[in-house]
Amino acid sequence: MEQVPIDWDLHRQGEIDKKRHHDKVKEAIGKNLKELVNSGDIVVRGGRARVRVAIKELKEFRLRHGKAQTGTGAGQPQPKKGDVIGRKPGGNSGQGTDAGEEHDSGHYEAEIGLEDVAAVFFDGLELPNLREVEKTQVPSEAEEPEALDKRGALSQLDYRRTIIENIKRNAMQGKAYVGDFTDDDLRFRKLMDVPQYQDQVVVILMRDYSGSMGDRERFLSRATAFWTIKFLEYKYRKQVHVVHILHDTEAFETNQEDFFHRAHGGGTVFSSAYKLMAKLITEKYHPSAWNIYAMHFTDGDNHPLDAHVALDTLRESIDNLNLFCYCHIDPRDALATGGFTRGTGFTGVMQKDDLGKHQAVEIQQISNQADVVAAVRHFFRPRGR
Amino acid sequence: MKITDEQILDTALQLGLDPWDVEWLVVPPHVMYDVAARGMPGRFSHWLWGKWYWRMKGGFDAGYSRIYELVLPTNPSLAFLMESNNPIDNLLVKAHVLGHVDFFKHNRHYRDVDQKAHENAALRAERIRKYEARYGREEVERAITIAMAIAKYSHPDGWLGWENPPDLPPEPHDPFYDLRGDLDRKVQPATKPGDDDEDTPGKQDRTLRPTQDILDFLVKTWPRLHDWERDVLAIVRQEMLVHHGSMLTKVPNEGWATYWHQQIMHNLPLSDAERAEFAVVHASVVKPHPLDINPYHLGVAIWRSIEKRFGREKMFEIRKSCGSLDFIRNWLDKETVEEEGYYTYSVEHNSLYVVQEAEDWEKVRDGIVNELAYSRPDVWLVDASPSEAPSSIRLHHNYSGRELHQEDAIRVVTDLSELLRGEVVLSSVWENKKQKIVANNGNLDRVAKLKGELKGGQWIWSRT
Repeated sequence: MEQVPIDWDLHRQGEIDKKRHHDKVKEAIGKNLKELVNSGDIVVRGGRARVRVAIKELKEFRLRHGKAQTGTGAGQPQPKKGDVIGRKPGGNSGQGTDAGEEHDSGHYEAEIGLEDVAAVFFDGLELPNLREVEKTQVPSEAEEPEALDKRGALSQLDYRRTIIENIKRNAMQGKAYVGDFTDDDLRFRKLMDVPQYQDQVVVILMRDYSGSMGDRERFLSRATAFWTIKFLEYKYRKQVHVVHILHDTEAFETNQEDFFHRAHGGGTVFSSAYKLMAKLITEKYHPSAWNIYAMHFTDGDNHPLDAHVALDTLRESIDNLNLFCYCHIDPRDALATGGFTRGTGFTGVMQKDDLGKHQAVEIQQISNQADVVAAVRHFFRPRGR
Repeated sequence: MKITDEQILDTALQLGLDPWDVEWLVVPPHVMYDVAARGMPGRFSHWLWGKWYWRMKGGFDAGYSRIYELVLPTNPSLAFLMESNNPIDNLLVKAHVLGHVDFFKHNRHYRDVDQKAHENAALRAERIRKYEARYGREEVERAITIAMAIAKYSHPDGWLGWENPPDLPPEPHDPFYDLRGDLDRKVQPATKPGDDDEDTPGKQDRTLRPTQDILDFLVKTWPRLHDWERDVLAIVRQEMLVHHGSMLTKVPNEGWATYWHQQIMHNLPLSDAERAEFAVVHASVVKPHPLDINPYHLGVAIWRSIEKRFGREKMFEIRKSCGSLDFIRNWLDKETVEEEGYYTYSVEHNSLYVVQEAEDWEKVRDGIVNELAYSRPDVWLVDASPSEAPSSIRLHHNYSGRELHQEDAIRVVTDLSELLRGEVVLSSVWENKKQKIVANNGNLDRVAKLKGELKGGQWIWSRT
């Protein structure tokens, strides 16, 4: 029997159907995103979002038996009645009729790239653009804007690239060949290099690490900071600089690990953080060259006498900031113990002040993971111009 | 020494095998897994195969599973081998495939198989593509997904029609009608509304012959389907039937192929090293599993027992008529059960596997047969009113101790009602109570308890 050589590379059906399945998974994820974040189902590890999703559409539904309580097997030496031959892992539903089916009732575990989750999360969100930053000209590896290529004088027509575009377009429509040129196929040489601008972005994170912030609060802060930074990276298409400021009665810069994990005892003075922020802006991140986003994670518990100082300090900086996100972290089940009442509620103070109504100031209460999504979406909602 | 395909075939023929021609295809993994996932090369696209392809190929890429061979019951038989197989793997696989193809050619369950299934699959795929282009990909895909939920219940005989269709002289009563089709099926006559139901589909001027082939019934009678939907259901059914024979003969088929790959390999001029290598691969194929039936293991053990007791002639005779259930029921004997160490077990406290039967070989045998027979729940279409409003069908699960997965059943019933644009009722037993699921036009209406005691722990549908 002779083997006729076949080029199997052209056989793409498996990959095509696989993509179809993955597309549907993403679609379903998009529909359920809030619930996913809510129930803690998006776990971000090492850059890849791992999603555990109950997507009923993609499970194959069949009439099948429920938990299998019996079965048959073989092995030597033959066991006797009453022998225990094994232990079920985890007490889930038994092997039933579908070996290889989802191991749980309705949960489909998918590993989805962070980019895909981000794309759904950030769909429709925009940068606030409340402050025009004179863009600095910086050498960058940004891609050449395609629009520039498609228009130009015919004397500048780039034949080779035009032909390539033509073949690509024809191939997509069924058959790859050179012919039937359209305007879309034309590509032109650029007469000169277009200067590349690059926005520089810094996010100044501030957190109140005094005794009143516990594990849950730290987690919510971390999640909010994470998604905000991700959004900015997504929009600016580059890495953003991040500054971490911890404060209780005093403020200091620190690294990412400490920022999210350290806890301390003692009182709180917000203005210490705002003063440090102002200092950094003056010394390192000049607003003419930097887009500055600031976030403050707190439970609203400021020293009563600090309120005015804090507001005034913030007022001085506010025009240098693209956005100031004041995140009042308040999981409802975390109450102060020991009988002392909550603080003055700096949050309330700020809301009543004019500062609270400044266009660059956003005040959000974050109690759970759903609020994290809502807060980030609120910060970057499209603002009518 | 290089062994040619001709040598393998000659050896097989000399040993008495009589297969159809085989078309060998040596393929890279992405092709092998695509064919395995969709069941037939050229079959229409669907995310279901995408999911299986992803899973199965993922397992292969990660190194913990591997398909050695894949052979389709067409004529000529399409046989796929993995590119990455080493020479001994390939020898074993080719010998094994020849055993399969001999089985396909001679076993009665393959008598009506579509021998050009691969060509027809491509034609059907073309129709599906046209429907997708014309009526929308999502719509067509959805119809297929819903049909697939009940597709495994398809049977080559299809739905046998009404018992007393209106305006026609009554059909001559066929006393052997319940013996037709698969011998293991029990066909119960349709019922009148019983007093243990709250409500049933409306009064009929004709009685439904109960069937498991729900798709066939829908294709033939359901008025609330677009033409393209009707065709899609028929296509899904046709494609599922391609594998009907294999579903019914898994144990003897794999056993047969395993038995013969051993015989063929023994008769080929292999070196000692090659024989040793073969022995290792063969051992992994027939390794018994503590919690499941390995059809290769069970099948070859029974064939050897038959050979020992009755000789090879008898083997050839049996392979013509056997299916998994009767094969095991008739030919698994005490000696084999004890030698191979078969047993039944149950799950205690939701965590421990405890042996139930081992010494009593007949109970072990019956246990194995039961596991296979009830791998798919015994669900029947028992009543319908397609030409009345609301259009509805009544499904019944013959409960005899094993519950349906209720959540999934609810989903299937709801989806079906969406496809049918009508009402679907499924009755069964959950938590020892007669219950029914009712769905309408894609919405779950209710899950309700029914009146009536459960007698003898069973609820088998019958006309009262």
